[in-house]
Amino acid sequence: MPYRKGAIASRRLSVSALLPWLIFAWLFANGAPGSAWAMEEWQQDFNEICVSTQEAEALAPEALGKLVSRCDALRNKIEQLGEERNTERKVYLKRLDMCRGLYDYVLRMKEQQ
Amino acid sequence: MKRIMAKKVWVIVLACLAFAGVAFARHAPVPENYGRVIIKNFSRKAGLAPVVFDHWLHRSMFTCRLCHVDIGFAMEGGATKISAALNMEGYYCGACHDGKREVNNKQVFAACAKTPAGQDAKRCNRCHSKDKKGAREIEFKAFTEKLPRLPRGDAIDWEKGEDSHLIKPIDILEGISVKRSKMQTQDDFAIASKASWAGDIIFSHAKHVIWNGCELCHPEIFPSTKQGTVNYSMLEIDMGQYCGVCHTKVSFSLYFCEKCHVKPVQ
Repeated sequence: MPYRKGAIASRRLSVSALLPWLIFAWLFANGAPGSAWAMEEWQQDFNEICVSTQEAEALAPEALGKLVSRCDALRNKIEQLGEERNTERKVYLKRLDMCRGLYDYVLRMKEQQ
Repeated sequence: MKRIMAKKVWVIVLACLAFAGVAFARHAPVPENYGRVIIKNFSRKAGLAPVVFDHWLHRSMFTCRLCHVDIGFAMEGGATKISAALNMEGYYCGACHDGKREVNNKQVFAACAKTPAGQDAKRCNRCHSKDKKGAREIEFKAFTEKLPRLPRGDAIDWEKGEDSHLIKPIDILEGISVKRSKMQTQDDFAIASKASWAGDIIFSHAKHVIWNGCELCHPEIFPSTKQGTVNYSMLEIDMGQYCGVCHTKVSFSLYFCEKCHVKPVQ
């Protein structure tokens, strides 16, 4: 009986030890679409920066100023994408310019008030 | 002699005014053709008909922002330089038309093919449909039959369509759009009308941001940061500036004065 208990326990242990690895393997095989860690650093930055466009008006001038600076820093990173990523660069620069333009616009509006 | 000259000048002035009147007289656009874009950057070279892109079909399913901000389509015709190669890489039309993505529980057909022959040719013709009768699967009349119309003409009232849940434009594209925070909108405001016969305009931010977000209009189309500093004129709008960027091409046309000039004339 003690032998059987031990066998069940060790089987449970091996399954629980394997589970994270199985999940990891499944995610790796499926490319983990849309998950944050599948993104490149600059893409994560882009998402973090441009997430606030809808609430730009509610942000304080300091926060808007920081976002504009982050946009400028990110622009340099996107501009450095290789030749083979021309379209990606074009699309994201356009998106970033719209996002930066809005933050800067709201910031100027607030400064005038 | 002087009198004859003065008469001639008057005739010329009146003729010019009459011409200007005719030029600016507004006609209801044909709804089926309104917002139509013909894309022919590389089609002829590839031996295909130009692409007929109709805004009415896509705007019934997606917000303006989804395509013009998230996917990156320019607002001016021909400026994006869409190509089959880019579509097949997953950009522009290919962002949705990848043969995998599902919209409204229906798989979206893939855009473009390396060799447009056989079954692929049929698929290509769905977009490359200029002057090809029956190539398109979705026709305007059948597709828009149940959608509400504006009081004059046959134009679709998209706003009412959305209010009555006949259309539910998608605003987020998985893997492409930024998951945005909750929208903060300004209150409606009035813009005084310059014409005595037209009421003042009530501009609603809420109605516009729901489809456009903020960044589609500010700062590019409306750069002014202080309310009341720009002297908007119908002439400029008619020529495609300010409101005219959308309201002469895709959104309800300037023919429907009462849609903006909503305040009763005093």
